[in-house]
Amino acid sequence: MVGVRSEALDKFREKLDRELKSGLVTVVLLAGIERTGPVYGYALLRDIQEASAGRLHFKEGTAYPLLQNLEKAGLVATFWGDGDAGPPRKYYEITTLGRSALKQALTDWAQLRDSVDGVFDTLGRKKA
Amino acid sequence: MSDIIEDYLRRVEDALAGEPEHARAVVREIRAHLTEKADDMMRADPTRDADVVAREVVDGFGDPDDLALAYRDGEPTAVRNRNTNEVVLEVGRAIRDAGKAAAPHVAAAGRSTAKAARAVGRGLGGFIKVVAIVLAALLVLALGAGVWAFYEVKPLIEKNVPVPVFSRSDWCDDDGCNLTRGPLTFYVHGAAREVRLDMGVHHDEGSLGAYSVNIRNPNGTLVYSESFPANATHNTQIHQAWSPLGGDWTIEMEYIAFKGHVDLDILTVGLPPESL
Repeated sequence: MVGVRSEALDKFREKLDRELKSGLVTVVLLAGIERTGPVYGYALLRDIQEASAGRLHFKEGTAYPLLQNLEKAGLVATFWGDGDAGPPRKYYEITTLGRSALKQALTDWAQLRDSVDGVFDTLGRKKA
Repeated sequence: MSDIIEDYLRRVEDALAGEPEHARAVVREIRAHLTEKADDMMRADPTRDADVVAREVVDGFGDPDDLALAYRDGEPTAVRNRNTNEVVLEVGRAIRDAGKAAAPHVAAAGRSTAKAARAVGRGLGGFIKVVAIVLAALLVLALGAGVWAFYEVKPLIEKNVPVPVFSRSDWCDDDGCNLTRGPLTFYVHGAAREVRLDMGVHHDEGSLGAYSVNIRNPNGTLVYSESFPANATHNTQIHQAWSPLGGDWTIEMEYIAFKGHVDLDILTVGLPPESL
């Protein structure tokens, strides 16, 4: 029925949103560090929010474990330094390995996006 | 700072219980985020209630238990400050992990020994002979497990022993020092897990001099900069740690009418034994 939102539909949308963002947020963080680094967490997330005009929304706390994973994988290096104001902040800076990984991830993303768009397009033409 | 934010940080630290140093590093980073966000929101609208803003900030950050789970899923590694217990902690973890891996083998050997012992007991009927055989078998198992654990643990121990990559001591006596040293270069292996600075700055009593140090990574980024002015505490110990970037790092030290001495060591941790 038009206009009726079921609980099942909301759950599906939540799950899809979570799964779609799961890997992409990591790539977005890495890209943000590559373009604006060295940068600390809050400033990075603020820049990403501005760049996405608020469209890319996720719990801010989820970013920090992902940043830790990037550090552990050797894709970013960190150091403590002064923030714009207040106490010292942990800064993130992309490594050579991180640049290679980002380049590959962006290529993979472009291919995936084109493939999926192609599927939607082809299936749509078939139905028509 | 708002009690709401401090209470939230306590919950995060509690949720990360079991790795206190990592928890402290996480809380330190999150505190900086939450306070700056709250400050920004208050600057944007000073009429807002501070507690309401704090509540929005922590709610927007996420549930502490979920956060702790997300950190643990990634098997967090802490940036540790140097202390005398550090190698012991790493050895302890290595032994625990080696023991966990060895346990099924030890248990299987134990069951076989018990089976053999029962057969011997039934066949010979000699209680003392059974006990002696079981004790001998257990001793062999313990020795075998020890040797096996040693070879499992040894590379882990070696991997976590800090390796010095730069070391310097400067003494400046009665006339004091006015000089700049560097930039000097030290090399960090790309496979290292961490770069550490241990520095002791000792001002002579009544010294009016100053000492400063700058450290840059291979990208030229200033990762550490510290000045010790006149009238600073007479003896200062500094311990810092960074994630490594493989390549040539530089360090520059400046002494201005400084009297006293500076001991400085830079070490890397986590190199595989074959690269030492």
